[in-house]
Amino acid sequence: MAHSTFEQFEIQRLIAIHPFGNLDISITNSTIFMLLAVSIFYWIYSNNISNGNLIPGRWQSVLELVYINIYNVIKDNIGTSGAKYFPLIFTIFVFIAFMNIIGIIPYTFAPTSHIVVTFGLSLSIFFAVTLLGIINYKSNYFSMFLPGGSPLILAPFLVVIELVSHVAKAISLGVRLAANITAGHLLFAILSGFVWKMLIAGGLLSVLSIFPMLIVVFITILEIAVALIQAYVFSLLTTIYINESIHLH
Amino acid sequence: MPQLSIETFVTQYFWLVVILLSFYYIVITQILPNIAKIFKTRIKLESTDGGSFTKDKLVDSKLPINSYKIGTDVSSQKGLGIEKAKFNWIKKHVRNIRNST
Repeated sequence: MAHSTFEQFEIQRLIAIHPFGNLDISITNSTIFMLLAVSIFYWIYSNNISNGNLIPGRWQSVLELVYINIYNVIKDNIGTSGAKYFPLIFTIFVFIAFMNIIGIIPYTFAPTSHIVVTFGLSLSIFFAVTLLGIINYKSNYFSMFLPGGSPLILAPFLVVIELVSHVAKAISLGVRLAANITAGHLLFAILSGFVWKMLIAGGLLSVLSIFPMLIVVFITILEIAVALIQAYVFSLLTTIYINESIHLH
Repeated sequence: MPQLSIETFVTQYFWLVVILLSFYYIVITQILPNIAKIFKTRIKLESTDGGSFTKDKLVDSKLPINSYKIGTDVSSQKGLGIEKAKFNWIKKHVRNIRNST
């Protein structure tokens, strides 16, 4: 039973590529769904913006809303000088949102449910943000770890705590996304298992199996919301961390 | 738990980087400029003269329309016949109301 609920997260190698013998960069189902997410967004874009209208239709309004809202996220948190980070935040948001949403369809695979994908994103962003701070401020970047106006006696204690919280920010950015998506998919698998077993048992349980079915319907709606909200939270936090390293606190 | 099977880590991270960077390139060169073109055309047309987005207005404003390829239809007119009928009904009756006041 425990085996079948985790089966949906298995990585299946479709085309094995081993360039130097041991190095493994095969094309897996994770690759295919990442490509699908990007392709579906590009398809929506190319059908609606290339022949767009001044008075937008429905899909064009959606794309314009995404553009405007992500630009507002950057404007509110970094200011107008942060416009050079806008393509990065836009691509992160769209990539994660589409990967999450496609994973809700039954029998598909959500790449963001794997910790390596989300940790890869969050640690790469964290390294980039730290490098950004060090390049801009050289050694003054580490003044971020001692907030101004604190008594000097507490300094060693405070620096250790601030360092730990800084590292925790990087880890939590990745784990938050992976844990939310994994938990949602596990709920799907377990509740659907309930429905199936109750239907097979027959009698009163077959009739009562409609309740787990209704809960699965509700969880689907919840998961769509969680998919979009987690993508938004990821990009918002990335913007906040970029702001912290450009304007030290 | 399949999330913790280390032998799959390299392949997932490699393809994540490849696909993300190529998507970033597409966003910078195609997607963001084309969405921004629509916004800027709209703002420019509104600021020069009222708010009627017709093809003559687009030609008169000396914006390079051939390269912009932005349409001036109302998108709901392209759809089903029922939406076009609704639009015509609204247009006809709004003109009546405007003429009577």
